[in-house]
Amino acid sequence: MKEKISQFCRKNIVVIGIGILLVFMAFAAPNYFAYSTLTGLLTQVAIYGIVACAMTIAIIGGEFDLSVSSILPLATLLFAAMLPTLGLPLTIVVVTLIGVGIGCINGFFVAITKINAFIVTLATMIAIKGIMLTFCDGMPMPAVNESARQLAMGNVGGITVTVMIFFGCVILTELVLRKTKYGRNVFATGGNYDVAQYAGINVRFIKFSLFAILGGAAALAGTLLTCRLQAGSPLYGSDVALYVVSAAVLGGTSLAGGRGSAVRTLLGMLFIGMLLQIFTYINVYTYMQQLIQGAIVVVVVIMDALPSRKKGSDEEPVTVGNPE
Amino acid sequence: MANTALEMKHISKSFPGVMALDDVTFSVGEGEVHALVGENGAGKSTLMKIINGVYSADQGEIYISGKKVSIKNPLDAQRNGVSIIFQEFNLVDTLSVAENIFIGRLGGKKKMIDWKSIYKEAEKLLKSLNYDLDPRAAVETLSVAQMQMTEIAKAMSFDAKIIIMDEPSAVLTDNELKKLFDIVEDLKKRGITVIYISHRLEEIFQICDKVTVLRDGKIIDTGNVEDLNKEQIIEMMVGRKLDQEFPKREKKIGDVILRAKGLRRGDRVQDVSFELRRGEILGFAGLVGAGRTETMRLLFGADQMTAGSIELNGKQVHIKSPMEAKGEGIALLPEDRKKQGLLLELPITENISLVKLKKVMSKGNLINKKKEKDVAKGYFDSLKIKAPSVTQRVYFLSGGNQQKVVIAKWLFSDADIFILDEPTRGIDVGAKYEIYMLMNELVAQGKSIILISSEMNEIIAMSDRIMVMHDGKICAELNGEEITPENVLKHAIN
Repeated sequence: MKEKISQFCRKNIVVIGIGILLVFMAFAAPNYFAYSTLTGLLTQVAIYGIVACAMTIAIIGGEFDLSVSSILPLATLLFAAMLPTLGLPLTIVVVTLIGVGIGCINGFFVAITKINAFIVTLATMIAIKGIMLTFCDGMPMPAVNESARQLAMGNVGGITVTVMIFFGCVILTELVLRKTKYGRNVFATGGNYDVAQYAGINVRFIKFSLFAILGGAAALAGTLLTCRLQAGSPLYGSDVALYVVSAAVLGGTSLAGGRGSAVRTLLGMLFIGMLLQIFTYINVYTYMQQLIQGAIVVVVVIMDALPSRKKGSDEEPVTVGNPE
Repeated sequence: MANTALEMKHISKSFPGVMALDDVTFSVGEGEVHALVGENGAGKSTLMKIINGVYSADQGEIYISGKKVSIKNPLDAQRNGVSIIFQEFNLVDTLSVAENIFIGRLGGKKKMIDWKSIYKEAEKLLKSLNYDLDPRAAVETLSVAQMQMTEIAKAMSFDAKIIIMDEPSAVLTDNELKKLFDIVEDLKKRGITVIYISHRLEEIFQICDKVTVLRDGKIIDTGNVEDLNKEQIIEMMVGRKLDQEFPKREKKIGDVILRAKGLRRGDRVQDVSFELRRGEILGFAGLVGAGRTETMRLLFGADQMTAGSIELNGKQVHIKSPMEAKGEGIALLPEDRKKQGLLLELPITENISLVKLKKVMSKGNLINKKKEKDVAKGYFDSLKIKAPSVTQRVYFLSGGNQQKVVIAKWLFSDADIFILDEPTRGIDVGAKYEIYMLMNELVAQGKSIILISSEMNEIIAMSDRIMVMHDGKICAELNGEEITPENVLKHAIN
């Protein structure tokens, strides 16, 4: 029984966390409970949430991508640069495709040349950062455009278009993961590469595709961010990687691969979003916020490692017969 | 021999479903080189692991130099002067010889390591053993024989009185083998007792004083090597009649379905050619490391061959990945089912459907969970998989049931050729029988099976033909009457 309770807690840590925050706010700031807080929260997490969906797929597939932290700001700059000549719809498409292209580069190095994803994406992250800073000299680029603003901020009852896109992404991700062959193959590849390969799955394509999706998602998020902020900058969204990875892991997606869910990642995003809202409410200093955020990541990763460490020990529950 | 170095009295050890050691009494004299032989699964490793404290015996006592000892873990064994050298060494490749010798004891109680004295100490030790080894050399730059020397130096640094060598020669070249013999000879001169485990009988006649034969967890006999010949030892090792462990079947062997010609990859697979017929079980026998698994990996596209060709149904095919192999109707049940065969975190259903998801999809290319469950339920019942339900995670199943899930998975894939690599390893007798029945059913349906097995009984009873491999080459093809344990062993040991 005790075991069951602890297992339940571990599995639903994010739900419990949200509950604790709500109880806390009920005492600290009762006026927190308003419809506008909810819509504000959703708007706040929606853009990163799109990247979080892609990151969830990637982590389930046993990979990890730091470079979204550069692809997203690069997309804001590209969007700002292209918007005047290409017009809104075409710009979104082109920028997203460029994101996919960068993702393909990551995917190539990880899946084909088998270099560790951490190294590859760290390298692309730094390289893109260098390009951006050269390109715009570190200054923001204005992208003032009414229809772009409408795209980001237009809303039905407080639910913005961006939030709708985010929800669409969550549903799509969940559907792909649970119901399609591709999704199942991602689970298999992340769960055990050898088994997946022996089962005749095109494991290299799976790995490759994870990064292409991530690149596209990060770029799309970048375009939406530019629409909202009406400018592009190398600084916008440069903290996205850690944010979305911690959201995914908080939601129970295992860094070891093979386990996870987009809906739970959504909850993870909401938890982090609420925490940041609360920090603002109770006036936690910005830099302090970052410290706390960092601490949460560490705690979450340790929690992720705990059950698997238990499992990874030599104690096997199955009966093993042959002593030879 | 005046004194006994090691005595084991009435040792028994059982694992679920297997009696690994049954009332084993075994003694080794001081300064003796004592061979321990037996087939795979005879219990040699279990016995050695008990001496070394990896396993604890259910019953029995161990005496070292006449004193009763209790060995609960490898550290106890070390304190009692017992060291074991495994076939795959316990060395850290990137560290130096000296670091490996003193690993775990570097610096003693001090915080800082005194490298100068470490290297000096190692040099002194190596010199006293007459080993020409640079204590500063990284282990990865050493030859296999030199690694063995490092292991022995490590054992000697613990003042080992008894050194157990588990298949020390399996990976050695002829030249290195001579060096190994010198090393063993030298240890003997120093009064060290050596327990020498090997499949290669001729070595035993060259360097051992005594030999003990184990079979089915029992000691068959201990004798002086001088008084025995190779045939007698083989007879003792094999010695049992094949009984009703194996279900009978009617043979219906058809045309050639697969023809491999001159397969080659490095020196692990050299010029391997064979044919496989419809409805046939083709056995691949040989010692561990003979190149059987490596050959199958070439067939399955998991590794690329450097030369040779494969024909399926008379047409040449190029299989570059397991994905393509699956497309050609080849299925591989890997040796290590936990690492290579199953997604332990996923339920039985999803493990089975993985290889052919198309078959459980409904319109719109979406997975139909109900269909998936029905399919799994079918195999669940027909293969008698024992689990609370088909949605049980595979992690919680026993070895035999896990293996059935792997088989179910490949049955579901509609393969024509099944490569079974040690399909019954670690499985209890009852489940083994069911897996043999399944194999018979498959060939009765006109499918073909390649069976790799290190269990002599199994491969002899189940195979229609046997290819025996040795050192990456096929050294014999046995048909009909030629299929006897003695023949297989003779060729495998070469």
